[in-house]
Amino acid sequence: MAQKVKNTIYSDQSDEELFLLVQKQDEEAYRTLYRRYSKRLYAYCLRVVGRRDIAEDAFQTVAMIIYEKRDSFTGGKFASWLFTIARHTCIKASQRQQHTNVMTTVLEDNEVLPADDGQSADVFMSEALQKAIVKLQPDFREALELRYMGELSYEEIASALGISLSLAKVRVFRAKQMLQEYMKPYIEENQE
Amino acid sequence: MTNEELLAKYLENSLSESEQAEFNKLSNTSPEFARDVRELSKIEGFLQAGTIAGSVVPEDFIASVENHVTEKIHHDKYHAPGAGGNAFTKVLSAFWIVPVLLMLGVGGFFLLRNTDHQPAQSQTNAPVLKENTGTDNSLKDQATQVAPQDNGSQTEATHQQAPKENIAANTPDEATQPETIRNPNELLGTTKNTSPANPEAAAFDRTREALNTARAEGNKPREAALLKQMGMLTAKMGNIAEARIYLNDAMNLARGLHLTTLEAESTGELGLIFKKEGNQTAAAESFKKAIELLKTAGKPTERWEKELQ
Repeated sequence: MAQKVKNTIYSDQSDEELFLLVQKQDEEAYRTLYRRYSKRLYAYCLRVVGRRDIAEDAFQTVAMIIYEKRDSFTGGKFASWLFTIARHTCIKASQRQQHTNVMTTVLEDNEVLPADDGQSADVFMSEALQKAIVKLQPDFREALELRYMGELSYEEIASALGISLSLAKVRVFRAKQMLQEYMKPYIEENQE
Repeated sequence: MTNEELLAKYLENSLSESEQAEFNKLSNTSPEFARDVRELSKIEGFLQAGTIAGSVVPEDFIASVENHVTEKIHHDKYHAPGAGGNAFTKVLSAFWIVPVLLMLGVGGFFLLRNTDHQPAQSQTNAPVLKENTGTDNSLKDQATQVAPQDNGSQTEATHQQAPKENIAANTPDEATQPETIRNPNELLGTTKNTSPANPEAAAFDRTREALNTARAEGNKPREAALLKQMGMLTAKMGNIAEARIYLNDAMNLARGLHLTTLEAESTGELGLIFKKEGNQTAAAESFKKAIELLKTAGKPTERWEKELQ
């Protein structure tokens, strides 16, 4: 009963209130925050580094860093701080792995394909989109990834990237416009 | 407000009433604007599908990282040098070594006795932390506390993406083996027939490899298609329980990616599993759902209608 009450109290706290407790080494506060963000953080790492094994390395590194470097959080939005750490960790991992050539690898003819029609038009659209995102300029790509994989608000993106709110919005929209250009052939084909 | 601003707000679903009116007017009068709306909406849809819903999050791995960090917090708080705690707990903690040594001694005695008399056993299935891949030294350094290293052996993606690390071996033989999947069907636990002469087993191996590649590349649509393939093959090989897991994963992933046909086919295949298990109600539900989805996608539904009868 007491535990239930405690959990309810934790779940009512804001991210920043919880992190103040994490700074005092409160395990439940960490668990609550972790559960709020772990899926988003994992999806973000996977999107940025492009490989599951490297994403998992980066993810567990971030999970530990936010505890070990807890005193370096001195205010502001927790989400921005978290994704700033995640971004740096993933970029470092990506640079070392030079993942982009892996991300853009096309399907090989000798790979096993499903026996039937699982590969519908939207499969190809989705694959093409993944490749198009890799081609985006880094500034636009990271804003887009924070928005869609990190599910951050524009305010949080602005804070994580150290840019203004309006610039955060512009970068995300420009990224979409670039994707529109890259994806034109696929979209037109799909509409015919 | 510029057209671009209107478009951006439309995509974010944040147009005010007056802006919506302006947007509608533009859509009706400007073919270029209408085309942009159409194309960007399509992009938006795929971006939304690529969010968490489209990612298979390895729950075991996520949970193990959580446990590891919270254990560290607990350790730092109560056991690390200079940690808090009252005088009583400090005195107690000073004597922890005695029971631990006793337990190790007793455990070691029984372990030695067992290894003298029993054949080597397979690895435990306990979910544990993933080891780092040994490719990024700085990350490894940072994550040393999270992921203890073994001999630098590369892990292999598993069906559940269960995190791995060194597992305390029961026998000297196991202790010296690198952590790789030694049997292709190890991933499936109880799947039968491992003979390479068996075409289904060979197809299974190839599909599994392709699935691992798709996962490594983060290629979700392909992963979904291959999960379905794995489900069908596993069912053919007689492991219904595993087949259900694969098909469920395929169905959920396809749904997240808005791959309607693939979702429908995975749902239908799941129906066949229920049918095999004698659960006619669940089977019928699955076939109906598959038909409904295929109709939405404008695809033929005969196969599942036939099954429904």
